[in-house]
Amino acid sequence: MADIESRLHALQQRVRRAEDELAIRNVVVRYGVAIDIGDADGTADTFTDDTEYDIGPLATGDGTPVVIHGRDGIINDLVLGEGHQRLLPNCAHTIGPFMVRVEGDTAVAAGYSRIYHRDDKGGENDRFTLFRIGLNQWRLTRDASGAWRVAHRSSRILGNEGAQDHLAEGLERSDPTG
Amino acid sequence: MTNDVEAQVAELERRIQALEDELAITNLMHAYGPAVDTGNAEATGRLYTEDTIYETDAGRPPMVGREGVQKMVTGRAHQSLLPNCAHTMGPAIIKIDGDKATATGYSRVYVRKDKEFTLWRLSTNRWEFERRDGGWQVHRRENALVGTPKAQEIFARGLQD
Repeated sequence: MADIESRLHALQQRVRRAEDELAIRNVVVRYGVAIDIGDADGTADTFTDDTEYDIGPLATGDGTPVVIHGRDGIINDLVLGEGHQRLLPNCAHTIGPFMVRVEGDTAVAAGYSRIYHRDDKGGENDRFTLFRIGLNQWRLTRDASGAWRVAHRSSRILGNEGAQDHLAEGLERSDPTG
Repeated sequence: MTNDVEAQVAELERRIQALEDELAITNLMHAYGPAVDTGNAEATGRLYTEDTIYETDAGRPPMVGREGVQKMVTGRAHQSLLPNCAHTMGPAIIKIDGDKATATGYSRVYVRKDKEFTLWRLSTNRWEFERRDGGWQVHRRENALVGTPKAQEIFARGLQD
């Protein structure tokens, strides 16, 4: 009977780990669904309250990465910011594919994201364009309620300086064969 | 009663194993892009069995063995795409059968030129996996451009699995 109890305990842990990975995959993708309808609270809910989202250097800047801080930053600087509002409602942020590695109450993930945009809606050049491909790393944590949230995300634009190294670091952390 | 509980636990162990296998295979497929897009031949090779075969219609003979796949990564054609390419795998349907599994689905290669991101290749794929040394590896992969008879055949076969 002790044997059965230890096997049941192991099963509970394995089920939990599988559930965790599925929950993580959902929350990472949920970001896109929320931000594409301009839902600031919904987007912020995919992050921890003290999250950091490193969106990389601005094209016009000196190469220093721009970091969005906390729930307030996600809401006011990202979702309600001019850069994102200009894309609505003609954008689609599709996240994936990405690798996930769960380590207890934290997890890491790494992979791709795309932003599509519908240009010139209703005009002569009405078309869908691939506006950007991102290379991403995520760190997630399980909160007190059991929900997974993004504690840190960093994203670099494919082909930009440092982007390949960023993906290489993500692979090293999340490599399923590692 | 004890036997009944024992059987139920064993059944649950089999079911969770199948779920874990599907998640592991998903991660394995999704690691291919980051491995090749960072030009990491070693990490790419680790995804494959030592005696793997990777067939593609991209104008080259099949890649044979882990070394064959690694040579593709270090080869001129692939190197010329770096660091401006993104290989994204999926979506795919996955079928597990003990220590073997198959996946059938899409893959894309995006390339950045200046500020333009373009979809350069869109393919269908059949992946055959084997569990070796406790982990899943790609034992065979077939890749064919959408629009070719081979691409259709790959999907037709996938639906038969």
